[in-house]
This record gives sequence, C-alpha cells and structure tokens, in this order.
Amino acid sequence: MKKSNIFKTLLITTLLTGFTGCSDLLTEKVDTFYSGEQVFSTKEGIETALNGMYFNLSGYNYYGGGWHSLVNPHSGRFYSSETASADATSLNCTPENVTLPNLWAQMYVTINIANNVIYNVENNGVVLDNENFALAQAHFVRGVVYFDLVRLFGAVPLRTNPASLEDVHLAKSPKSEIYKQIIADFEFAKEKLPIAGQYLVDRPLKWAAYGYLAKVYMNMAGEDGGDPSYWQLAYNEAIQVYGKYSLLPNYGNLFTPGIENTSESIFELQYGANGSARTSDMVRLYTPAGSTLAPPTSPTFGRIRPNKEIFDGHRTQYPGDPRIGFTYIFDSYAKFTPAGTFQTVYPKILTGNQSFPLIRKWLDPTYNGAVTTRNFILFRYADVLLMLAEIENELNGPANAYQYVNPVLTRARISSIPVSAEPANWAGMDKTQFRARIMKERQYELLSEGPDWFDTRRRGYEYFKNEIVNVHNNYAPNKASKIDFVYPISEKNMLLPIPTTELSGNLKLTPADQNPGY
Amino acid sequence: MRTKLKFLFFIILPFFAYSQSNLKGTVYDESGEKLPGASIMVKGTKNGVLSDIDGNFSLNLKKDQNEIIVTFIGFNAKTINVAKASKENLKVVLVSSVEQLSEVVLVGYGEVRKKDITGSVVSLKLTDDNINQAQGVENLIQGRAAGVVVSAQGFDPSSPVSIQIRGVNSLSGGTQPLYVVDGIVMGSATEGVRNAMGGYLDAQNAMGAINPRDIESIQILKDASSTAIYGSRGSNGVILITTKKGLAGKTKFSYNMTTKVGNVARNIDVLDGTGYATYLNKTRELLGFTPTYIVESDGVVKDLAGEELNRVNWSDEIYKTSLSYRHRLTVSGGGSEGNTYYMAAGYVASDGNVPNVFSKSTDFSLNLNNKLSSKLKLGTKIAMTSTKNSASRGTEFLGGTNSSMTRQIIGAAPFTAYTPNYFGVPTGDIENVFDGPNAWIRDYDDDSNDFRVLGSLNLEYTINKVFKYRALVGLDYRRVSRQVWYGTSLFRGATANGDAGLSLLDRFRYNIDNTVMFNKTFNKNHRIDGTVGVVVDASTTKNSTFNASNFALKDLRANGISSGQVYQPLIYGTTPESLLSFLGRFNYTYKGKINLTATVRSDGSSKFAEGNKFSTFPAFALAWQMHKEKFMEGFTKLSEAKLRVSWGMTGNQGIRAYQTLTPYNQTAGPYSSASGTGVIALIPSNLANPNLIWETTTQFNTGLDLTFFNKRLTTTIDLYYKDATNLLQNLKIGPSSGYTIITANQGSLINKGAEFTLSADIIKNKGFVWNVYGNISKYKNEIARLGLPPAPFGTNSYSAFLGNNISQGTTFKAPANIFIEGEQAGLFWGYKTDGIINNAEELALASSFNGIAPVLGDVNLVDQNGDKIIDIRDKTIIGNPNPDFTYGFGSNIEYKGLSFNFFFNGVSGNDIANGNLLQEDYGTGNPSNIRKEAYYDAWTPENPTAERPRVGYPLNLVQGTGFTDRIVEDGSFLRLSNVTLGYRVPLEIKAISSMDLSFSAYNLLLFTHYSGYDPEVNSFSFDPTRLGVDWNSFPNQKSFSLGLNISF
Repeated sequence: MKKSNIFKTLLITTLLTGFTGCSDLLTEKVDTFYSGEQVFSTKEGIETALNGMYFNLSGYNYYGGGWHSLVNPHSGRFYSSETASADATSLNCTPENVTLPNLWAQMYVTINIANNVIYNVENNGVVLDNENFALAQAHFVRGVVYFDLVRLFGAVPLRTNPASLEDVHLAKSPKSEIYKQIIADFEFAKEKLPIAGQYLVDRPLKWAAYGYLAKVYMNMAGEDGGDPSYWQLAYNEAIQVYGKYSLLPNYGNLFTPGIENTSESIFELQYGANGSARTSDMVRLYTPAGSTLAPPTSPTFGRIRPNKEIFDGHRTQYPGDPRIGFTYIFDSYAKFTPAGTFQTVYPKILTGNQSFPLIRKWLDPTYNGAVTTRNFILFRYADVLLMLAEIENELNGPANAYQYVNPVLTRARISSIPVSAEPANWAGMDKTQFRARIMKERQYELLSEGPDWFDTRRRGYEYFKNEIVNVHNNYAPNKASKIDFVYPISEKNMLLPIPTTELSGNLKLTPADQNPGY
Repeated sequence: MRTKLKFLFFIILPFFAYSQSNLKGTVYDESGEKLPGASIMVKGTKNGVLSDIDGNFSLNLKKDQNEIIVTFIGFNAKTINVAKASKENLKVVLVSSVEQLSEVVLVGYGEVRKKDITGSVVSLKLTDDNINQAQGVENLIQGRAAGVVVSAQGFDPSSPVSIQIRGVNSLSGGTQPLYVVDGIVMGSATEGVRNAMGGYLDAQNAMGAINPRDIESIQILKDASSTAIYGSRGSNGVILITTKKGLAGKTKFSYNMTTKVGNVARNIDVLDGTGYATYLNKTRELLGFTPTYIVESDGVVKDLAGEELNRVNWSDEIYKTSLSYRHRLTVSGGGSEGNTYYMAAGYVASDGNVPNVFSKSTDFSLNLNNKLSSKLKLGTKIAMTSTKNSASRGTEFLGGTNSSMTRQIIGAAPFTAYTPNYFGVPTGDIENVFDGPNAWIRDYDDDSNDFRVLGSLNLEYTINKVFKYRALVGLDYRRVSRQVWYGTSLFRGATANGDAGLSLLDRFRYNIDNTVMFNKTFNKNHRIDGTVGVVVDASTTKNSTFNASNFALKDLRANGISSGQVYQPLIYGTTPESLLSFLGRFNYTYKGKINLTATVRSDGSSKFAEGNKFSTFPAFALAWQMHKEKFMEGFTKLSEAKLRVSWGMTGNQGIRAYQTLTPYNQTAGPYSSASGTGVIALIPSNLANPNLIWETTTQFNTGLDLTFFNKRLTTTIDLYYKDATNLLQNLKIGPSSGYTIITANQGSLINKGAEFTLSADIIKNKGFVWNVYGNISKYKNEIARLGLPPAPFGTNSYSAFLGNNISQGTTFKAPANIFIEGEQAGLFWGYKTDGIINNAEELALASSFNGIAPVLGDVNLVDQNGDKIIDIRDKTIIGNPNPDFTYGFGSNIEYKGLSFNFFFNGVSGNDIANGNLLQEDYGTGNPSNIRKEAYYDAWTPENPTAERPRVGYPLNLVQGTGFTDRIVEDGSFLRLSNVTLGYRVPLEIKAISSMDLSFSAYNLLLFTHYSGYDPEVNSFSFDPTRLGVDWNSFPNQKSFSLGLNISF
C-alpha cells in the first residue's frame, strides 16, 4: 500500500513536471539579441538600424575595401599587386574573383537593410519623430547602391521589400526598371531628407539626393545608347545643388586626417578608431609598405597603385599642379628600417613591383593596424561643379561652362604656397575639346575617390577603348616594366560579371543571365 | 549461473563437518580453471591469504569466524558462509565480472540480454590492454567496430576527432553521433568556443572529459531499431558508454602509470639552404631578374652583400621528441548489500611534436551505488575533468606562409637570422624578434582551459515483479576559456601591434528521464518487457568573445588583453535549446527464439516553429534465434545463429538555434558618428525559415550473427540501407537576397553498406590463448535528390552545389567538393591536367588561363569544352574522397603471464586533396621553400619528361586554378596502429595482488602512397561540405610507451 503510494506520487510529479514545462520549454527565448519589433518601435531603435545600413555601405567589402581592391583596378587606372585578384586587375575579371562575390553580397545586404527600414518604419504602428528622416535615408542609400549596381553590372535583381522565404530567388529586372527605381528613391529622398542643422551633421542633406539624380541623368545621357535629352534633366537637378556647398580653400585639407564633414562634403562615410573589426582597409591598401607614413607597428601593403600613364598624364598636362603632391607618392618614400633609408618608386624605378607611384590621399599617421579614423567622401562639391561644367557644355557649349570648372582649378592653384600657376583657368575651347578636357579633369581632381570606374565607362565603349585600354597598352613605360598587364580589347569590360555565387544560388537566374562576354 | 551455484551449495551441504578451524580449498573460474593469486579474507578482519599457483589456499579460522570473502581482479567478489561447508576441500567458483556484464547490453533507457538483441549493436569488449593504449574514447573505437570511421582533424594533443557511423548522414545538420555516458546526454562533439578574432580557429576536442580507464563498456548503436529510442538525436548513431562501478568485496587499489615518447612519423623533404638559393636564383634568371644569392661551389650561400647565411633544416630545428605521461589511481570496493563505490583520480600530460604544444588534464570521478531498501536503489555519479591545452597553428583559413606554423616549417627560407623570415618590425634587440617557425613557438599562444563536470542521480524503484520505475537526472556542465595571442614577430601580430582574443563558453545541459520498465513472462513461452517514459533534455549555452590589439606592453600576452588600446566590445550571446520527448519500447520474446521489438519516440524541439516542433519516430525489429530450432540440431559445429531484421526512422535537428526567426544582431564593429565615436548598429542576421522541419532518416537493416565451435568463432554480418530525407542544409542562396545562406530542408541522401566482423579464439588452452579479430565495412552514399534545378557545371548540367571554399586566402580559394544529385557526396571538383607541355606540338594545342598564354614547361590544363580557354566551364570531377572500404584487424596472444597484441587499421580507395602541394610542389619563384622534387624534377628543355612544371611557373596560375588533379592523391593506407607486449610479474608479496608491465608502440608502420604527413586526416572534419582535404595539418607521431599497473 505504502509502496504504491510512493510510486504514484513519483509518477504524478514527474509527469506533471514533464507537461507543465512543455509549452514554455520548447519556445525559443530571445535573450541576447533584438527582435524586429523591438528595433523599430522606438526612435533610438530606428537609428541603430540606420547605423547598420551605413555600416554595410561603408563596410570592408564595399566602400571600405572591396571597392578599392576590385573596382579601382578594373577601372583601368590602377594596378594591384594582389595576385589573387590579378584577373580583375588585368581586365579579365572572372565571376569567381576573390572580391567580387563579397562586394556584390555587401551591396545587397545594404539594400536589404534599407528595405527593412522602409518596410518596418511604415508598418510599425507607431509614429516616431525621426521616421521621415529614416525613410528618406533608407531610400537615398538604396538609390546609391542600385545606382552603383546598375552601372557595374547592368540588369540585376531588383528588390524593394525585405527578403522572405517566398522571394529568396528573384529574376533580374531590366536596366530601365532599375533606373526607374533609383530615380523614385532619390525623388523621395530629395523631398524628405533634412536641410542643414535639422539632423546629424554626418548624414546627407536633401541636396545630396539632387546631386545623385543629376549623376543618374548624366549617366543615362552619356552611355552607349544613351538619350542626350537627359542632359537637361541632369542640369535641372545639378543646378539645385549649386551654391549649397562650398569648396575648401585648400585641396590638401580634403585629405588631411581630422578635417571631416566639411562644407565641401555632400555624402561622407564615417569611420572611427572603434573596435577592432576592420571596417576600412583603405589605409593598408594605399599606404606604401614599410614607409614612415604609417606607424611602424601598423604595417601597410601599398597594393593599389595608379598606372604610369595616369600619373604621367597629370604631370604632363599640369606641371606644377599642387594636386599632384597631394594625390601621389612618387620618386621615393622614407622607410622605417633601416632608419633614414628610402624606397625608390616610379618614375625612378622602371621595372618590377616598385615601378608605380602610389596614392597619398588616404594616409593615417595614427593608424592602429585595424581601424582608421579616416572618413571617405563619396560625393563632394567639386564633383558637382565639374558635373555642371560638363552638362552645360553638352547643352550649350563651353561659354557658360567655364564658370563651373574654373573655381575648381583656382582652388587647386591656391593650395600651395606660393600659389601655383597651374592649373590655369580654362578659356577658348570648343565643345569637343571641353568634353575631352573635363573628363581628364575629373581624373586629376577625383582620382581614387570612387568615380574612376564610372568615368572610364559612362562615355561609352569607344571612349573606354581609346582613352583607357589603348592608351595603357601603347604606353612605352608599361611595356618596359615587365609587370604591367596588357588589357584585352573587349567590350565585356563595360560591365563586371555577375558573381557565380549569385548565378548558382539564385534559382531564378540561368547562365544566360551572365553579362555578355563572361 | 547463480542458481547453479546455489544448487551446488545445497548438494554439498550435508557433507560438511562442523568443528575444524583450519579451512582448505581451491579457487576456480567458471570454466573450471584454477585461479592463482585470488585473495581469501576472513570477513571483518585483516586476516587473509592468496591462493597459490594451483589455486589452493589454507586459512586459519577462529571459532566464531564463519564468513570468508574471495576476490580476484576481473571477477565478482564472493562471500561464503563456511559454518557448514567442507573445511577440507572447499571449492570456490568465481564468476568473471566482464563476462557477466557482456550478457546484458545497454540499449538506451534500459538493457536487454545480449542474445535478445534485435538491432545492430556493437558491444566493444574492452581488455586492460585496450584501455592502457587508449588516449581517448576514439582510440577504443577506431577500427574496432565495423561501419565506424574515426578521423583526426589534426595531430595536436588537443585536436578533435570525428566519428562517423555508417557514412555521411547529413549535408550540414550535424554528422557526429550522440554520446550518452551512464545516462547523461553529453554535449555535442562539435561544441566549442566562438572565434574572438576572425580568421580561423581550430576546433578542439570536446569529448576529452571521458577517461578511457573509467570505461567499463561501450555500445555503439547503429541501426534505426536501436537508435530510434533516441529519436531526434539518433540518426548519426549513438555511442553509449558505461563507466566502472565498484564490486562488493575488499577495497581494491589500482595504480597505473604510463610514459610515452613520440617523434614525427613522416617528414616532408624540402630544399636545403643551398638548393633553395640555387632554385630562387635560377627562377629569377629565367624571368629576367638579377639573382638574390651568391651560391659558392662548396654550398655556402651568401647574400648580395657577401654575408654568409646560416643554413638550417627547419624540420630538424623545430620538431622535437614528445614526452607524455599518465598517472591514475583507482579505489573500488563495496559491501555485500549492494553498496559499492568506485573512485578514480588521474593526471595526463601529452606533448606535441613542436615546443609549447601540450594538453594536460586532471580528472576525478566517483561512482556510488546504494541499496536504500530492498526495492530502492540509488546510483550516484560525479566526474570532473580539468584540461589545459596549448596549441599551435596548423589548419588555417588563409593558408599562406604567414598564417600557420606548419607552413612556416615547410615554407620559411631555410636560413636562420634571415630578414625575410621576420615578420615583425625590429624595433629593439634582435633577440626580441623571432624568425620563421620560431616566431610561432615564441610569439603565438593558443591556450585553453576546459573544465567539465558530469553528474547523475539514478533512482530505481522496484514496484513489483513486473514494474520498475527509474528517475535519472543527468548533468553536463562545461566551461571553456580559450585565449589566443599573436605577438609582433608574427605577421598578424605585427600588423596589429599585438593581437589578443579571449573566448568563453559556459554551457549547462541536463536531461531528466522518467521511465517505467516492465518485464513479464506468461506461461514460459511468452515474455514481454520494455520501457515507457518522458524525457526532457535541455541546455543553455553562453558564449562570449573579446578581442583587443595594439598593446603598449606585451609581456602579459593574452592575459593582458584588458590593456589593448584597440578593442572590440564584448560580444555575448546565449543559446537555449530544448527537447521534450515521449518514448516507449516493447520487446516480445517467444520461447526464447523469436524477439520482436517495437520502439517509438515522439520529440518536440525548440529549434522548430510552432506546429513543426513535434515529430514521431517509430521502429520495428525482429530477431530469430535459429539455433534453437529443431531443424538446426544437425549443425553441431554451430553454437548460435541469429537472424535480425529491422526498420525504423530517426531524426536530426542538428542546426543552429533561431533559424525560424530573424534576429537583429550587432554588426562586427560599431558605425562611427561625425565625432568619431562608435554608435551601435543593428542588422538582421539571418533569413527566417519558419517552415523548417526534422531531417528524417529511414533505415533498413538486416544482420546475421553466427558463432561456431562452442563460441570460439563469432561472426556478424550486417547490411543496411539508409535514406535521409528533408536534409537540413545551409543552402547557399543568391546574395541578392541580402543573405548568403538559408537553413532549409531540401534533398535526400542514401547510404548503403555492408559490415562484417569476425573474432576467433584459435587457441584457448590453460595458460595459452590466441585470438584474432577483424572487421571490414563498405558503404556507398548517394545524393538521391537535391531539389535544385539542373545548372551547368563544367560541360555538364547537374543538379548540384559546391562545398565551401577551402581557404579564404589566395591559395586554394576554391571549393574542393561538389555534391551532385545521383552521385556520391563530395566528389572532388576542379581542373584535369595532362602532364606538362613539353613540345611545340603540345603547346600549339594547349589552352590559356586568365589570358595567360601557355609556354613550354607549363602544366597542361585539360580544356573540356574545346574553346582553348581554361575557365570554370572546364572544371570536372577529379576524385572521390569516399573510401571503398575501411577495415581493422588484430590479434591477442596470451601465454602464462605474457601477453602480446597488435592492431592494424586501414582505409582503401579514397582520394585526398592535398592542398599543401599547391605551395610545396610548384617552383613558382615565390620565396616560400618547396619540396626537393619540385625543383630537381622540374621541367626544363633538357628534362622534358619531368613530372613537375618549369621553375618560374606563374603563381597566378597555381592560385588562379585553385584546384587541379595534380594535388589529388590516393589516400589508401594500412597502419599498424599499435603493438603491445604485456607481462604480469609473478609476485609473492601479500600486499600486491598483481603487477603488470606493458610496452607499446603506436603508429609503427604505415603503408600508403600519400605524400603528405598522414593520410588519416580530414582538416575540416566537422564541415560536411569540405571533405577529404589536408590543409596544413601537423604531422602524426610515432611513439612508444611503457606502462605499469599495480593492484593491491
């Protein structure tokens, strides 16, 4: 009797403990991360998601690194000593390039976050006072990334909602659809983005959206099969930005550590010496190895270097241009070990790895080996002035275009003490001359700042072939260096290949969706 | 057996006399052999003797002393009341404890008599020799159980070991078996700390907490009928471990000591200093550059400034003899009333073959059994292990010369004090900077502390003759801290001015089993027994990581992590996982001839969304003991014949938690504000898949157990067919979704195989035993369905996907494996080659790669599609990492006090992708050192039949092609894994009951064509999409040990 009581008690207790815990036991508890609801129900939460979006836009595989190690060499203006990426550097980019899939992935991660912000802010059921700025920034950044995508890859999958199980696989949309979306996003952003003083200083103002729209239309006007009527649309947007920003008095200040978010900066990506996860790799990629330009405890690679014809072109055009000194490291640089010695580089060395100059713009004397405080200006006012000059020339010829380009040249001249005679103000050109010069001028002013690939392509294949490929292949010092690549004459290089990871992982794509020639 | 003894007791009872005080008798074992050295004690006193060589003893008893206790190691102690027994010729028969245990086999939540087993279960009989040789549980299993493949991830003392039962069962949902120790469900073998520093962190052994010397028996459950009781956890098989318990009788002490020395078993020959300098000069000359060295006729190498360089052989310089030792003391015993105890404490220190690599562990374990009343039994277990590991760096994601010690030993320029071997920036004394592999010894730490407690309470209540109730609470707590340090002599430390990482794992797991067991016999012909129960199994894992770099002071190394000037905020995460299960097993036995088993388990898992949580796994099995049938009576040589058939289902939920949700996690670092300060950034971290369900494996098994010649010859044959459906996969999806993978159920995988085991006692005489045993198994897997639309791969169109990239660096940055529907899993996928281009004719036909036109002496890449351009469209199947069969065999010989045994294991027919050859076997002119033959057997116009390409073959080509069949090697091998000679020292000392000496040799012989360090390696053994790759693993050891075992 007693025994069976014990047994019953035991059995009942155990079964009870078994069942009561049941519903609770099997629920996944969200302990150490946030749910979407938590993130988007407060003002501060939304800001953290926006930070996540900028983090990816500026991330290691996108503007923090991948852009520089893949897109810049592929522009035809740079050499990279990274053997693993020699395919892209030699303009034979494969869909398996080491950087390409990561760049592509981080571009779409950024888009997915923008989509998440837009969707959740519109559907969070509460009204928060930073909602409009949040939506505007999400639309703006989504526009920026799709604009990069459509130029680099042509037709791509167009996703405007957070990815879900149902639409994981998505076919490509034609270029026209992508452009339509980009224009819609910038149109939204130009209405809703703040004006100066309304919001954080490091975030884009509404004029940034106008400026990007102008770039979009310029691209649509200039590329192969483009429609010249877009020049007028480009002008309408670009002129809105005129006078909203101002040039810094000294060109060198643009690349001086600590001078950030200035009156010239339209869209700037922020970096700080926070944490140890590599966000930007620019300092390592451009700063020469073993040089005194970075702390000895933070070695750098100096992997990405401008081509000889690019450097020589600038010096030939404008001997004495102060921008040359701010843009390039050439002849030699000081080495840490042995102390007091120098490494000679181009043009003092003509063969081998050192037969290139280097870029001086992205130095960080306090670089700690992992993270840098150096910001990256993705869009600045000088670019807008050069755009206006180019547009005006296309619409009405050079007469009224000089007023836009000359301030840029003037600023360049007064950037040295004493003031330099070069680059002299422009005058007396015809439309064709002006067009050719303005394209060169963009290189002198903006080299390695982001637009190189686009500026070499947006005037169409003939321009790319004649001005980039042929010039490079026929340049005598390149032939003598034993190390420069001979670029293939191939129209496929007007686009990058869609990475294999996308073609094989996205079941709505077939091999026929690969870009022509790849 | 016991009833027979009782019967005997009553028969001889009438002949006993009453008044004598001197007791004489003989001790026998069950087979009638006399037992020398048994201990005969008068109960309650210290008065006792040992039996002599003929098993005889004589003992003086005082008047009221009526009980003696007879004990002998390996036998159950026996208490005898001699009040009424024969004092002149007492016959004491001891029953072997080992033998008795093997009759009952654990099958999960209960046990069955071995002869009644219906499923495919391997019961490992462990001898003292086996145990003495074993470093870990895996050594007890390796090669000894058919269908079980053990492979090393590396040969560091702390390297983990992968065990696969019956093939690759999943493409990502976890492939390791479930370990259950005395009813405690152990954490996964793949469990480890998170990586604090990016890059690659080698997994470490998560099963080190089980000391082989405490193991009484191991049961490996292979087919679905036996594993179905573990339902959701059973699809990769189950390893049940029972630890030793005390035996009633006098307290027994046993002490064991082993010392082991080991050396690198096989080396890789690279160029010496002179050869290296000659090679690089030659390459530069061919490429049109000036030479970098002056090589004099006597072999002296000078740099261009005329300084002589100190030539060195890094392997000789670095690899050292390892010394390992073990001490262990066990105390066991117990009273006759079912109260027994077993205690053990030990210390193990194992060295690696490079300095500063070791694993040291201290453990303590206690097993108590108490009979609380005639119906209530309590079992208590507690085992604690504390392990300290120090590892170096072999396998690495990046795989370059800078990122792994193995690479440095092979690839560093063979000169000491040579500037290019320094990665640090020499800021002070040259002594503070270490070159080549020395940098890894002096400036790299990977230290971990692993503390683990296993505990259980097991309460068993006998309700009545039919029912027994058992409540078991099992606990497994594990705490790991691992810290990694890169000093400034290493590339990574140099670029960060010292880089430190700290990872912590804190995991608590428990299981509560409530089971009722029943056992009832009806009219002698029908017997039913079984188990029903409710089981809860839950765990909480806490992970934290911290990373810091840029150290002003570096003396504290990773311990000074708090003083890093650049740091990552603490990353902290908890992962709860839980399972709730209802289970039942019913056995029915008819006339002791037919056994039927039905098993069902219904599991609910926290990892799936509401509505998908529960799944039910049934199984059925039938065994027919044919030898009990009349028609078999004629087969006199056949002792037993059992036919088994089973069918059942098991599940797999081995995916990460939270896959049905979209959590927002912090980004790797903060975003920055305009002022440069960090601002928190949150992003969605995975794509929710609320449709996830269990991966289910259906398995059919049939087996035949035959024993012959009075059980002297035992054979087992098993055939199985497994079909895993709804495979849980980390599917790669188009990154345009914003994610690169999604966890989804897709596809199915078939494994079929045959296993054969044999054991024969060729000689079994008094004093001379010779036994041989062996097993062989063959399996073949096939990806039955992938659910992917056909897409072009090479020149074919397959439904297929590629595995993960082997490395993230520049070399072998390509997947090695392809998973094609209808083919075996993980075939090698890369470029076929056709020797070296050695004449103009071949050159004219050769194709270009990445725009690099071929020249004479290049590798002739095979152009599959005929467009004369080598690109991904020319990749094809170039090998198969799956073996044709695996086998093991060995023999034991015992003669008087001497024992000799050896054991071979082998694998046949698999290929290995030896990724190291990409860096060792091409004379690219890259400053890394290379194998001798890569230079001396390189193509030249004078040596057109060479097997290796010209020196100066572009590195771009080697790295760009990623994976060619030039690095695919035959991985077949046969290894003499151990040989042991044992000797039982004949002692006539009362205090010591036995003393054994043993001398063992491990890895004495290895027969293989593989050119790397060791063919039994799988560098990414826990990643089912990177199969059969050797990537910078450390060499294996050849070692010798001396062991001493004393019982008293």
